[in-house]
Amino acid sequence: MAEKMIEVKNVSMKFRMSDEPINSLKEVFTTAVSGKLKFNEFLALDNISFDLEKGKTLGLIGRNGAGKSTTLKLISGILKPTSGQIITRGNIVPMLELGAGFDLELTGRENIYLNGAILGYSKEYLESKYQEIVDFAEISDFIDMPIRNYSSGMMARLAFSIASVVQPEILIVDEILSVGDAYFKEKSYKRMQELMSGGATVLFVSHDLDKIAEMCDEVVWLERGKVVKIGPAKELCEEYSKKQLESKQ
Amino acid sequence: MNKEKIRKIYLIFMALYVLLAASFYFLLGDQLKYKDSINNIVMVEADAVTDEIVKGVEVKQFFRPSIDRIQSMAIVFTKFYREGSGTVYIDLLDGNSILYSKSFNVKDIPEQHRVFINFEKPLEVKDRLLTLKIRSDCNPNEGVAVMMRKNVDDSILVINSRGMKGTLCFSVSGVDEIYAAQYYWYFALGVGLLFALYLYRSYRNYCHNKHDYLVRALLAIDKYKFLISQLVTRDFKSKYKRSVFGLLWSFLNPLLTMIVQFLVFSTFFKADTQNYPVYLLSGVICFNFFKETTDMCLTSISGNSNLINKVYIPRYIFPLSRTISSSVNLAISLVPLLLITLIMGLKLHASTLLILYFLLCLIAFSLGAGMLLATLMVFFRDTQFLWGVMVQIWQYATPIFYPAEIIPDKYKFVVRFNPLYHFIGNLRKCLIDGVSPEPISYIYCLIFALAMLFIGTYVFKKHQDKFTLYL
Repeated sequence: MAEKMIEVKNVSMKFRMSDEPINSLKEVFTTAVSGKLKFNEFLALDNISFDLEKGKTLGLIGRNGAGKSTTLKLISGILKPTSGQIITRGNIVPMLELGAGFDLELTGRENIYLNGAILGYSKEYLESKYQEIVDFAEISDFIDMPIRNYSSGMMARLAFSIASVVQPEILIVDEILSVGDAYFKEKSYKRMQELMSGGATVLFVSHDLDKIAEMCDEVVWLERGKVVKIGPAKELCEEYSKKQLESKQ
Repeated sequence: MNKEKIRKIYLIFMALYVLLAASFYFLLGDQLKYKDSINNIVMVEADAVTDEIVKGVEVKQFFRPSIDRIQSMAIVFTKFYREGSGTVYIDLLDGNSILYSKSFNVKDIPEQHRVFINFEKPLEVKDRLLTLKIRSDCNPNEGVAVMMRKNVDDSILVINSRGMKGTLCFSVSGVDEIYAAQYYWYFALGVGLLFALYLYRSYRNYCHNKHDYLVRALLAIDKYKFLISQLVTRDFKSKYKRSVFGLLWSFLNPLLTMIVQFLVFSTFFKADTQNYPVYLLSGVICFNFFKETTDMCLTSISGNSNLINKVYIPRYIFPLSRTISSSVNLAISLVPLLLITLIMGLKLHASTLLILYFLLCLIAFSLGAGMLLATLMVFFRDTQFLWGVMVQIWQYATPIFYPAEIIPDKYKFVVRFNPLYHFIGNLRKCLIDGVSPEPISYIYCLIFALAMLFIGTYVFKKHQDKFTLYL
């Protein structure tokens, strides 16, 4: 049996939400005194379990607010579950947001190292991959310029190049990250496919059912924080899209 | 990280401990063995003068000092605002044997100011009845008199064989032995053994794949050192990126603040304080560090919300990296401090090295406070504004531009429980007086620093999982 890279066991995630966020001392006092300090509990994930074997690609499908992004955040360690357990083996690269931690005042070169460090790359690794990043982003002429002078497309290309230079054991992707103009979109899509088929274990969220069906081995179908079904990608995607159509009519 | 590396690091730790324990002993020198006596005889306020001391007149003061080693005395004379001439002889007697004699030319004696007598070799006459005898060879109307206070119980004064209740205006100061200090080496050895034992156990555990706190800390440092160094460089680069002087501001900032405060306050406090510029600058640098660190840590979590919500990085990295950037800044601003110290004609002593100890305490304290504030800030955005006011109050409650002595006794508790005052005060003692503070001060500072660090990390750790929900 293949090694399990991700195990999600009976995980629940509860958010405590007050009607208005209480952010200041004054509000705490006034609400506490008037006895209005109530929290609405919102169950984002309700006792979900699944696991993922090495080298497999798993897709998460479901409507907005079904708990897909929360699941990704839990697995990448950004959130801690209210109850239940999550076990991961190997280094995780979460590609949830590109260019997190870019500093506009710094040059492209400096941002490559900063952003790389934030994503958890080592110094040696970044140094060895530096040229590859610059070449892929095609910004070698502007690399020593502060990125506040970059166009949004250049910044997105740089961010994608940094994020996708890794060889992760577990790759977590929220929507297929293809950025820039049509030419670069294709280039980055190819790169994503390379990454996903390159032996990495992939967990992947998209609203594009065709892509999910094409790339995933298995699919977890979430609805309102609960697992509806787990099964082979193609069958489940079909069933899911049928259901969507029905509910529309 | 492997076994070899951990072992090497632990051996370095042990060597460092031995080095520190030994250098501490030598840097402290006499300060380790003696502390200022609590039984110093304090000068009384004068309400009278003795008879004029001329040829044949003799003033004797009896006293019984409970000081282990007497280092100096001071007496206040008056010359009735005349120039005077002749010689004054001062003898200190233990029974009939003379302990010390010194003579002064009347012309050199200042009007109603302290005349100091420093004993080259400290006197060890604890609890003996001593006689202070003052005579002179002056002609009438050219001599001096000693300021005194009448009707003081338990003090006998003899003026020309006429006994009376009263005391001269004189002070005696010295040091008491610290009895615990003779056990320093045993103590150092004991702590060293415990430390070695702990390291050994930690190493054994590591070999069996059980990671204790220290190992986890080392692994985290190894894993995140690149990220931390990147964040620190980022702080510096973006801080000075578009300024002309750039890094030079780290020198200029404390220096300019010092000059402004110097111009404003020097007329008030200069007379009371020796080396006022050094006094001022050391205070300004330390407090600015504290202010900068806490301000930066305060927003380190809430200001990085986009990062914290998107990528997993241990949360403590943010306040920690901010504290490290401020510490680098602090290190840079030590350069102008040392320059001013040298310009003011102060010499660098071995004890100057000891300021590093107090700076480390200050850094740990600020980090602890910063983590506490960062946590509070996530839940209550008001913290930022409250802290702005608090810092200002704290600044005035700390003797930075004024001498600590001007605080009335009933408000002394304000500085006594002010950790920053302890750090700054001891640092100044090392730098300006060139001697180490009493050993107990080191322990106080350490307790203050570690307590704050513990509170800060505890609160931070307890709430860090909830940060994302509130950002």
